Amino acid sequence: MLYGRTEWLEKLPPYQGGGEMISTVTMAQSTYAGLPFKFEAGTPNIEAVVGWGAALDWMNSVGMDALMAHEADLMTYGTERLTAIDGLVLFGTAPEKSAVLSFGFADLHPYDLGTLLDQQGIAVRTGQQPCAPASPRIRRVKTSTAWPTGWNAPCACFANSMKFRTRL
Amino acid sequence: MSSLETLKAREAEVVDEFEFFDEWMDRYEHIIAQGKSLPAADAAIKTDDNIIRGCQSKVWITAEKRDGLVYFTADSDAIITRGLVALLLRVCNGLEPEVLAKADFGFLQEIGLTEHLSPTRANGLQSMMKQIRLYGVAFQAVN
Repeated sequence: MLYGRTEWLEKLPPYQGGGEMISTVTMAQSTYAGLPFKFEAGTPNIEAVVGWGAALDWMNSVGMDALMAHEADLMTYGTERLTAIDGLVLFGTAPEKSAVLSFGFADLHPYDLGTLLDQQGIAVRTGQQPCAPASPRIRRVKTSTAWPTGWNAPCACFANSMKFRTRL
Repeated sequence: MSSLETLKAREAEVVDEFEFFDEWMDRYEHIIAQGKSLPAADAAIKTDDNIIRGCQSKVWITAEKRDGLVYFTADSDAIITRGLVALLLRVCNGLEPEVLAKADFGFLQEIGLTEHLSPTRANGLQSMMKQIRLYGVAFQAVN
């Protein structure tokens, strides 16, 4: 979440124009709407908010406990199946980790792996870890059991088990 | 055979090879085999100057001119990219700079590679082709 202090936000000029961010417009000058509208140019992301509301309704109807159990089941299943693959290195094995499985092979570039999985109808995200800036720190504590040395890999494949709603 | 005829003949040969495969997975295997057959380049060429911008994985291309013909040395850290590089080098090596400068590498489109690759890989391939053309342009001016 990004926040700013009112006094500074009032001094900051709009960085985009259009829609409700304007107050008056003449040929000579424009004045802008007050906070926060000044920074909310264009059409808001309405469908995403509506979609999110529907998603929350669905989650509540299923129940958070059931969702957690389903996710935990998929995680256990996914971890079992992945670790059975010869040569696969799983990055991140903390017991309370969320439903993301990052993995790689020592002699295989993650982009190659991603392309070949894609050919078989399996979507994974490939590339640099979003937490790349943290990697050097993690490297320094690589002897810690919580962080396997595999984090030294420049990039990896990610499979988010929430996206795989069912077992294969 | 002129350099241009050689280029066209080599391109046609690659197109023929790829027409043999119906499945993309088999085509990828062929690309990977090409990558494996590309001799590993000397570590000395793997400099920031030789890196191709716009490629997701690392690709290095360098070239030299001998007896009026251009010879490339290249490498990549990813095997599929290495295969793509190998295909380009197969058709380009030992040709006149004038021909390289104008090469459109239409064979990549003919085998469907430019369409099939992910946008980022396709961009990378475009950057490699551009670099080869640039070497062609540069070596026209150098004896």
